[in-house]
Amino acid sequence: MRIKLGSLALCLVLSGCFGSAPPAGGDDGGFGRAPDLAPLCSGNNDGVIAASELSFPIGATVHYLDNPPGTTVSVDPTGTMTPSGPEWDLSSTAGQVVPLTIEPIAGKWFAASFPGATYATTSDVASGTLGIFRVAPEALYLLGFASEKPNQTLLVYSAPVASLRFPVKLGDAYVTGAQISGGTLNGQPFASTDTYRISVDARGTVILPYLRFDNTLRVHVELSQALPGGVAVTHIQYLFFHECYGELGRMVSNPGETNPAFTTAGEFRRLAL
Amino acid sequence: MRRQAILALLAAALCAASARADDAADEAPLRTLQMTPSPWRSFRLTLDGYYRVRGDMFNDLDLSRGPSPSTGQPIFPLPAAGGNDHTITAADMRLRLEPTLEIGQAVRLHLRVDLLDNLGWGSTPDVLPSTSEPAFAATRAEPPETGINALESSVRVKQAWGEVTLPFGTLAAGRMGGLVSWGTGFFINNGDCLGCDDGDSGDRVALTVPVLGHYITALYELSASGPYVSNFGQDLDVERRAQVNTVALAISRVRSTDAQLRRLRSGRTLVQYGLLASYRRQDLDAPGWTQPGGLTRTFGPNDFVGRGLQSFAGDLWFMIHHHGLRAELEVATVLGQIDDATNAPGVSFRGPITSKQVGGVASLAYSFEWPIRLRVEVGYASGDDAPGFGNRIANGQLTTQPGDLDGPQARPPVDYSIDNFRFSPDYHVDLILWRRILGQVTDAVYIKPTVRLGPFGSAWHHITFDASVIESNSVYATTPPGQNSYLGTELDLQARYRYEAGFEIDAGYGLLFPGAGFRNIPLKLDPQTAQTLEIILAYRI
Repeated sequence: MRIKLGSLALCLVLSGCFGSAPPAGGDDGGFGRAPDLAPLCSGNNDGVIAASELSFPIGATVHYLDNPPGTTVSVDPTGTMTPSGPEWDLSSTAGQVVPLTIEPIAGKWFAASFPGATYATTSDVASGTLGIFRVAPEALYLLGFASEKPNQTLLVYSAPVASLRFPVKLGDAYVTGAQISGGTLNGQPFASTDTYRISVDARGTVILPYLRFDNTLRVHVELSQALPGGVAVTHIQYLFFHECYGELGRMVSNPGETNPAFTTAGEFRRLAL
Repeated sequence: MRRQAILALLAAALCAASARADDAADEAPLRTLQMTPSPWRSFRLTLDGYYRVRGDMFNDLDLSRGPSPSTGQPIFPLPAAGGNDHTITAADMRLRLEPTLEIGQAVRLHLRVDLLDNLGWGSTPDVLPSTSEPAFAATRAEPPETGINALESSVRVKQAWGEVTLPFGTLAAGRMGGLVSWGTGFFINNGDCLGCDDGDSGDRVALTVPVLGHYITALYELSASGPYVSNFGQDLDVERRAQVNTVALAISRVRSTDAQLRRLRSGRTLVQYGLLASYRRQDLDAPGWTQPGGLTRTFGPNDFVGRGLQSFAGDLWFMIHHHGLRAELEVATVLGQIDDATNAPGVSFRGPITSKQVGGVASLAYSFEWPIRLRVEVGYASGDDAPGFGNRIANGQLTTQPGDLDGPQARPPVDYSIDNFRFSPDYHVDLILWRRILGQVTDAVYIKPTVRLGPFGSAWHHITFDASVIESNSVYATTPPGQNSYLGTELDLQARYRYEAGFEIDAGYGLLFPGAGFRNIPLKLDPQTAQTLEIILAYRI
């Protein structure tokens, strides 16, 4: 139960949106055309992510590498300090490829419970539980969670949780939260009070197997879940965001982690590029 | 003692000269030497060019083999309304004007202006832009205007450059034609032929010096300026390191057309050759400059990527002509590296893209007793083992898969090379396969024997017939969509009627028997025979 709840925390799947081909032009000395990395949206590489620099194309599928559910993996969320800032090495190719799709809400069994929702996407890989989001000019809101199959899991927040506030920039920090009451988790009644402490605490470079992403923002999330009976669960997450490419990766601690520089993660996700 | 006397004489002479200059107010003033006396009374305007009307019919150039997997599109356009008819037609025109203004004895100004450049017949009826009038209500053709009823300007200035003959050589500057004027045209091609659609125009400064019967040319080209801003009427390149700079050095022994004819008619051997080496470099790049809206936006440090492009190109050409025998060989190579091929600032490749490309053409021709002439041409263009040919990449196509006709040849992280050499698209080997389906020769080995009959007629009216068979294979079997290196055999028949008063008709018929390289494996479709007919009417200036 705790592991599942932990992985149901802040869930963002953004478009890893490789875009159109380079414009037609003259011969570049016989090189032909190199692969295009221009994203669908037009970023300005300023290290600040505006709302227009994240897109959520319904139906798009992004492939991530993830450690198998139930396993742990060594991570280094602190990274290596370089003259240009921290460098986070996410280049490990271990794990399994997980396709995550930005799904439409219309037609889903839980659609009526989330009015105004924009999309849903898998938030817990092991169970397939979906996170439901609303995209607004000022923030990306997490509205709750639901299972793909009807009547198994339905957790609706009492108020939208601003998982990202636009523009996302270094130094941002805020506390938000909401309650789940009368919810259902795997067919069982469920309630909790969730508190998110979110800060954009670093700006640096993410290394993937064959790509470097400069001006990446690290979003630090501390989630405290108060369950009935006085039980409290905490998690620490680091999410790495880049304009137009969205979430490059994440490191999620095991439940009860208190060390911000934890080295063992319950989940280590990164773009499978 | 003798040395002192010489110095004294020199001093005396200098003093005398000085005295004359100072004291000669009553003499006629000195004039500067004028190479071009009274230039406005001694200029000459010559005009070259042509007016071309071209009509084509393409039958089954999609080979009825179904779509490519990555694009979902056929390999050649099909009738948009559907049906089983696989025939497409095209008709267009172009008026090419190439005036040369010779001023005095040394200065020449050149222009290449194309009017109604490849404008499609019937493409600008007076019912455009869209009104309530249907197409059949058109009463006349309107002049094309960009953004109103056409996508391109009706007048396109493609080249403009100046040339001066100096005591030590010829200095040319401006937007001019090909880097060199020699060679077969498979590597550098000025787009002079009647059927040409491209050309190699560039912004260059070139100095050509004759040395021991050779021409040595040193050349600089600003291939791309990068972002610029307008400042008091002048465009300023805002980042010098984003410029794509090319330098080249060429040495050649090439005679004028008249000199070649004189030499051949006198029974002497004609030998011509050339060697070119060029180097291109770009340090930074602003990918946004070449993307929509890039010409009007402003650029800052975050918009640039470290491109690190360096490439070397070399070209060697040799031709010998003796009596009826003519042999020609040209080999070219392009070697290069792009440190970071990204188009997204802030996102970088961790490995460079490299290129090792080689291409060549060899031909042997012999003129028997009139009217027969035989010619055999062999061509080679190095390939890349990635699927697809790497000529044209569809919008949004990021990689290739087996079965694709085309697509990017570098596919990180497994493939960081682009090794397919591409011939100039204006070097036409055939009428269908390389010309229309693939666009240009690449990743290929072909052999092309040709029989020419003619000319028949008189000095003023004559007609020539050519019959060619072109057999084409790819270098890599992984390149063609059918995963087989045999691309096909094409029969081309061409006739050229020429009226020396300035008119020409070129007619060509092509029949392609496609090979297993075009088989659609997933759909289990064998490619079908394609044919084309092209007629060009040319009114020459």
